[in-house]
Amino acid sequence: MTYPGRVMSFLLSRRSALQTLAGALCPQAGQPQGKPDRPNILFIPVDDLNDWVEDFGGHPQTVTPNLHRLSQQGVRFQRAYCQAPMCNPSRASLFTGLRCTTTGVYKNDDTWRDGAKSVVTLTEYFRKYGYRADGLGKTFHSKQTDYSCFDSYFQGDVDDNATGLPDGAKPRKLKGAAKVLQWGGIDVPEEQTGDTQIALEAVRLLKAGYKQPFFLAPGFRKPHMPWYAPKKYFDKFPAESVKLPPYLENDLDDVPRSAIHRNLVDHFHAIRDVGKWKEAVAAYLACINYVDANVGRILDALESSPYRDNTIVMVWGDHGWHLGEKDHWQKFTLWERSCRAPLIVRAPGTKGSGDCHRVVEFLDVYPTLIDLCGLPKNSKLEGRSLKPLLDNPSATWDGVGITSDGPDKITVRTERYRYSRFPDGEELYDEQADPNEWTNLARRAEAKPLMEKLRRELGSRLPVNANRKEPRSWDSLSAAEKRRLRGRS
Amino acid sequence: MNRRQAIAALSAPAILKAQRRKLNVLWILGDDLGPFLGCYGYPAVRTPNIDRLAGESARFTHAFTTAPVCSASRSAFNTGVYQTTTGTHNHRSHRNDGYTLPAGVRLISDRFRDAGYFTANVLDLAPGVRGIGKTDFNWQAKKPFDGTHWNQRAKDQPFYAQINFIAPHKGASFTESRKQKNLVNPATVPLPPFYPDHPVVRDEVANYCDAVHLLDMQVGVTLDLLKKDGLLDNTAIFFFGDNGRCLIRGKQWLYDAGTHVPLMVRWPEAVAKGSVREDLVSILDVTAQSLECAGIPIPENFHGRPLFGSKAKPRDFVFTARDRCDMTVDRIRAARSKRYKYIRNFMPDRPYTQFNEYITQQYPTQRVMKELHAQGKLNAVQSLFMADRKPPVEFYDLREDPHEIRNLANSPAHKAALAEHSARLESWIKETKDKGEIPETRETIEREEPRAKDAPKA
Repeated sequence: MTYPGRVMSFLLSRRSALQTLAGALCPQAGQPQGKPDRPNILFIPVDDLNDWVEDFGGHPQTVTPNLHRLSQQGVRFQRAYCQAPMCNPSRASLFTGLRCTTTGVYKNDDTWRDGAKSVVTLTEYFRKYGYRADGLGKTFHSKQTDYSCFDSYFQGDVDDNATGLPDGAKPRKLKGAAKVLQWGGIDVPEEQTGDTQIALEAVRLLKAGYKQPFFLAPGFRKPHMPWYAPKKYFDKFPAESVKLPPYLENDLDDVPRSAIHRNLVDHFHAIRDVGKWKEAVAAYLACINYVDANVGRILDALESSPYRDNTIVMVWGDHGWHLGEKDHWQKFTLWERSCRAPLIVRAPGTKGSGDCHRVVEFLDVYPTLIDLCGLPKNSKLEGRSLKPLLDNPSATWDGVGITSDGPDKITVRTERYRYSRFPDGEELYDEQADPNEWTNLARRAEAKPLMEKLRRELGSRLPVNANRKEPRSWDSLSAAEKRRLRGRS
Repeated sequence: MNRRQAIAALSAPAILKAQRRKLNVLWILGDDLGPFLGCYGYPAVRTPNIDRLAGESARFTHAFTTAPVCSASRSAFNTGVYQTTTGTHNHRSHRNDGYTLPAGVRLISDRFRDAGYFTANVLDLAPGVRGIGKTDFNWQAKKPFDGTHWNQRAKDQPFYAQINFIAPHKGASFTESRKQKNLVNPATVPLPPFYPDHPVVRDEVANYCDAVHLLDMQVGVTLDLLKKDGLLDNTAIFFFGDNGRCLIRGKQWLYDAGTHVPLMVRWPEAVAKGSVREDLVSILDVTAQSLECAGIPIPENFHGRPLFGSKAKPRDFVFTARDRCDMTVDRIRAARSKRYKYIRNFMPDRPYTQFNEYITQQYPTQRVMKELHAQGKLNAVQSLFMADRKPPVEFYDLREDPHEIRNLANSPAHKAALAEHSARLESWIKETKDKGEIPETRETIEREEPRAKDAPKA
């Protein structure tokens, strides 16, 4: 760390009265502290949210009026791809602006700070330039949240609304298929549920007001499992009338063996075989609707605040989610269903709106926000600013979406194709003709030249990191080391 | 000096004298030590102490262990019988099932004890320099050693001792070695052609070299101590590794990188100082020679043979075997002559990179290779190890191809040589009653290796 943000944050999280003092002590004291004309940022990660969002075409029955309202005023990135189809590496990549292939952080158990030792993360960068960063809920992968990246942190009910669960269930303790069979409407006042607590705290912060530009990051934990939410959200989605996602028998016959996550196939079958597929789909829709309502609370507060016209709003899912498509449940795969997630950006002063079909990556978030706020460029970042697309969503763009599941499985998405490489084979899908990825073209002779081109494309986008250090297993670290890495030593 | 000359150089009176004086026998082992040593011509390391030892010893350039992994290899050279014959061939097996060695097979330390020797698995040598007392036998041995230092022996009693150093094994010695001064510069380590040139790969190889430095320091301290104790003239010292280097495509595999080890024998009154032996040697021959040094008769069932003297007989082949390593089931056998290596993969559908927790956690190079392979950045040679199956047969011309990267299994020009090696392996399997032919049951594997239950499927 080259600036004393970590130390400061320790003070700040306790004593808000010290905020202004700390601001004055910042090494950038020579600069005006947080130029008042700099835009604010409302940055909303949503855990496990796939494209079942209105205007993203994932599910015809999804109800997300608040996300719809936001996206009507901004740009919907219809082809935004995460760098890893699971929490920790996806979020680490977004916060560090570095690819998994650069940091070696591929899995939930990889210690992301090991792979990004001297990296200034997204919120740290903004704080360096006078922003106040308030984190709420789930921003980084929960276990590995680095609190020193924020001025304050509000957790909310981390126990996934466990209060009021039927039969006193403890969803966190369950393993395997039993874990994915947990959902239902709960009879708990909404203000006591985790995500609503987060939304209300964000509203409180907005109402209390900021003396400097802010980076407000309320991260929602739903629709991550277990799917419990206030009953009224479940009442809107009767299981019997729910439409199931597209599904093809024998869909996995033409894919490499290591592309398949056998346990996730088992999870899906466990649900389907007890006749609960529709119920589960309804539960996911209900949880999305619940999160949408909480996004709405914050948007409403923003609209009625002095920051309305000077705040960038960004909503993003950390990766997609399977609900039976390609015979899988959950995430972790390298298919469109896992790699694609919604990204909505409303940025004051940009000229475009509507759908953007260019391929972008969540890696681009960091440089985009810097660019939109007029901060100096960070030359270490591997993504690129999406500002040109926010001005003109159909601008020429040569982005590709690269997603890794561990070091040995990787996929690249272009506007037309998806090419994936596994230890035991390859995949090629024509997304235009086959949006469900039902036909793997990799073994067809006529696909050879295209595959060769995509292979080269993939290699050329991935630089070798000369300072790479392999990340340690998070679970193997001592409690003291974990505390240190979370900025709580 | 060729083998016959060397053998002849050992005079009969010397042997007689040795027997009269009851020679001490000391084994000094590096754990996972391949010949990454100055005296073996490896350029990136500085091993002045081991090189000094080599200057006072006969140095063997073609010594091979019988297994590419600690417990199986140690189970063999501590008995003088192939691990595949005694049923101790699976890595870390028979730890809790009451398994004992077959009739007639005994620990070498027991044989020394019967001959009046004090036996020791040496621990503390000097502050910061200690053996770890490793045995790692794939059976349950009752009190294999009498003590932990030769100085615990009775007056005038001869000793047989092992110093089992942990370096350059992964883990503590890798970490510890990085605290030394003058670390190896990763930019200078030579990489075999099957490794990609990547910072993580260089760092791992350099770390291995640093760990060899640590071992070298410890060997130096040991030699000084032996000198101080006045033992250098009356002790036959065998310095070797239990299997090849703990780097990917080394340990656990039957390429030379996994079974080729340094071997030096320092025996001043019988072995010419600084001599070099280029003949094929099995580490089991160390066991046989050790008994010979003590004048203990070599049992009939021994697979080793003496290295010196009239009973020494040149080998035209050495045989090596790989079986289950932790949770990773495989069976591979190899017959190696001076010129060729014949490898038979009995489970070709299992890839080289099938899941092994130790490798996954301790070999960052494999991770990087998988990564670069996925990105299409490995060349054909580097991709060999990433293949999703193994060829049933691998055949290498070691003279032309020391890194074993050009498989000649289908080469018409090598048909006869291949057939000869194959036949020799076949008869070795029969003659030594290779127990690897009987697969373990799933229950056995899961009892011995509970982690196998949770391991990702191949």
